[in-house]
Amino acid sequence: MSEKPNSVPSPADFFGWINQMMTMTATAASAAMPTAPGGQPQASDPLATWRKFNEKNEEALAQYMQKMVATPEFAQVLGRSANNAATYKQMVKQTAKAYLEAADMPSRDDFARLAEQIVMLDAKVDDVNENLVDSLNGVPQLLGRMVSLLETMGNRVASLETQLEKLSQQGPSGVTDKLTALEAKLNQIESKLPAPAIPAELTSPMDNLELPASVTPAKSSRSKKTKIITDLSEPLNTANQGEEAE
Amino acid sequence: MTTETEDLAKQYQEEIDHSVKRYARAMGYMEKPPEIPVGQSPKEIVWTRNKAKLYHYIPTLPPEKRHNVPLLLIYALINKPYIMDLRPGASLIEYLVGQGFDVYMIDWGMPGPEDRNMRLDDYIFDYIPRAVKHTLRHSGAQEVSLLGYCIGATLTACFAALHSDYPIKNMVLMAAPLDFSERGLLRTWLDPEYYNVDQIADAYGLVPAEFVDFGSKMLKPLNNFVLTYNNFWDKLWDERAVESWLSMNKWVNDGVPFVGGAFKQWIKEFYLGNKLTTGQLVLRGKQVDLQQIKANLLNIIADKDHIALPSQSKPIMDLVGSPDKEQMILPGGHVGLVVGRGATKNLWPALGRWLAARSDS
Repeated sequence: MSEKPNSVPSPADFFGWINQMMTMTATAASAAMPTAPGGQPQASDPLATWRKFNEKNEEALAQYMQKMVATPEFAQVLGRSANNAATYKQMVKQTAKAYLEAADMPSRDDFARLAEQIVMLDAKVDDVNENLVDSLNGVPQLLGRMVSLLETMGNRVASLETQLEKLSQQGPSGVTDKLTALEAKLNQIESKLPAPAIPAELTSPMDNLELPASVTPAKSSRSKKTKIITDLSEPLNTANQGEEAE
Repeated sequence: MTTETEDLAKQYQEEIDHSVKRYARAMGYMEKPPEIPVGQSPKEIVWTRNKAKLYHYIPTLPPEKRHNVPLLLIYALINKPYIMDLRPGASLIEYLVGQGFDVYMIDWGMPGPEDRNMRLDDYIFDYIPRAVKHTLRHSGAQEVSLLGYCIGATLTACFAALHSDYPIKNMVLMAAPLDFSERGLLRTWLDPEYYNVDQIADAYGLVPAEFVDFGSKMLKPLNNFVLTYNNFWDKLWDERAVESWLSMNKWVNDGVPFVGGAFKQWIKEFYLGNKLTTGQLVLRGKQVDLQQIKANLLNIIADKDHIALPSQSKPIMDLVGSPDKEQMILPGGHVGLVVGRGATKNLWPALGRWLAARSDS
């Protein structure tokens, strides 16, 4: 810029001066402010200075804050704030509850109680469902055991059938022979037994009773020979009737 | 005007345009955050109880290429489990399904005031055992693998210790807060001298998610309240990065209230009482003996975890009765362990390999 006292600067001089000023400003800004990834200065970013300050002092600041929050004084302030907030909350809650009660309106606690019952019901449904699923899961095992049991029973029935078949093949005479032999043996034993001598004092006064002719005293069973039904085809009740008749 | 001046003027003009657009975008996101779809892996509901749901993720591989032992994920109580299936390409579940695992997950759901008295015992005795049974029944398998994350890992360890008759083949604990003998920041804050757990739990019934979230964020205040937004500002021009940031931010701010009964128990018996690893924890009248855990154990720890400190996770290695046990210390933080570039590179393949070697009977 040419120095011409008391003269108006030419346009060239003016732009030259502006250019000089801008270059100086840009240089200063570039030095003070961070650059963008492309290397371009972020001259117009108002947070750039703050960020640069942070970056430079971050560690010291973080250390200071960490120390500060670890002091008992900070813990005291934090604790008291929390306790006070809780006291205030409790107060508001009680007031609101009293107001709602006075207005015959349900409070939050009433709804909570209701919801609690729903939660309990939900838990019961879940428990029932769980038991049901457990039971259903146990069904195949149970069925398996039942099948095995049925198989065993089937085997036993088959064995009984075989035995019965064998017996039926032997015919009723086989059984009759055995029973007759048994009867003979019993009679043999009975005949060998001595007649019981009953002392007079042990005789029943009934023995001395004179009975009318129409009354026949019952015979002692001992005096009667054992009769074994040998005819299996004869109905049992008929056999009994026969015995009675005898 | 010289060429240099013209270039500079142009550059300024571009920068101003750029900044205006950036502001406009940022304002747009702040005014109306876009709906970011999360948890998109195809799934079916296998079982429900109260608000809890058991999901089964639809396999993508043919049966002959799948592992025999199904994997049940047990997530924490105070955040939503979709962090395990954040979005396509950034989903641990998608990866595991792709590796041939039959994946199931318990979603505890959003508790209501009626659940305020629920205790950890209820989750461990009424929910997890049934979820395991349904997993076995649905998959037709004889054994199951469990993967617990954060408080979910604590629940998993307690369940396995108390139910040694269940066929648990493998147990993976990720970022598991188990031993509280070391006085961490949270324990300082929870000192009964300053903090009245009963009063807070009774007043709220359900301790608000924001309450819990604030506590977690205060553990790393600069990162959570400042640097994360700086990070977002820097990424505003990268669509994928913005989507990633927004989905993570959605999850961080999409908390679940801590059920009052369980909250009291968690603070008193775990953080303050340290009863689990000292063998003093009693749930429904039964002592929790970690020695009863016989399943193959993988204990995964994030070296920069400030929520479940590595010192809280490590001691279990000496307390379980598992003959096959391994500990992995991976780079990253509590959440970065399961999602993000680090997770893709570190956790996913390592977990997949460990499980694959133990999931075929």
